[in-house]
Amino acid sequence: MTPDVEQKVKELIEKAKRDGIKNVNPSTAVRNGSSLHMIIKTKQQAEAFMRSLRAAQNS
Amino acid sequence: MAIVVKLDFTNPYNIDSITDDLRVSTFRTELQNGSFMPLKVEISSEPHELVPTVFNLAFGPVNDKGEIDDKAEIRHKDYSKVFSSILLAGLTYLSHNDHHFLGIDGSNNARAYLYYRFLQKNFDYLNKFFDVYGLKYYVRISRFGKHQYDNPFDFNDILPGTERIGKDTRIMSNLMYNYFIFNLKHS
Repeated sequence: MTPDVEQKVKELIEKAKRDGIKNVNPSTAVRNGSSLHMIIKTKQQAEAFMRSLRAAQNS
Repeated sequence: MAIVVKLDFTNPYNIDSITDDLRVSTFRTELQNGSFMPLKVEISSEPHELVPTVFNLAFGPVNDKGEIDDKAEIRHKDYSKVFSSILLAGLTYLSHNDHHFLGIDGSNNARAYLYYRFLQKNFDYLNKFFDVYGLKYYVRISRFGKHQYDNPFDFNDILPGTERIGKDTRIMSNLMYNYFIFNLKHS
């Protein structure tokens, strides 16, 4: 790390020590993914998704 | 309008608040209309469900529940300063958690491509601090509309492991990584 960036990192750490707040409500845990992607780990999940799509199409 | 980002960790926005575990910080970005908007940077307290040792880094404005809206479209006045602030927060966290990796989700294909361009344009600078990897852990849905009832999944475009992104790495925009992973460079 370059000295000037190291200084910026130190400043942030000092700020966190000095006036950092205790955190964090687990309900604010970061969400992954979005509606534009689907996390599908297996072909079985993909097939289940396809079945639900086709059921929706036929209903 | 093309967005140009030149990262400089010595020129971030002032950090308004940061937690003592260095996971959550806030700063205000100046918008193109001259107003300011608070942004939150949050590193997950739990490792990624699919990629252990990786902790997700999300950023964006918060909604009324305090959750980050990572799909918000914001017109920043200074994109370089915004992304420098976000990555400086990540660098600070990694300086105290040097065995962790940070992951940034592309959120959608267009945004993932934008992040990839930022990485490439700033490769030499970032390479002083981080090793950067790409990952495709989603099955991409390649068709929408009336054809989506045919098999829309592109099972050929999954990358089961991480791939180091180098200066000369080239990847087509429609086959873009959807997750970018950083760790502290150990020289």
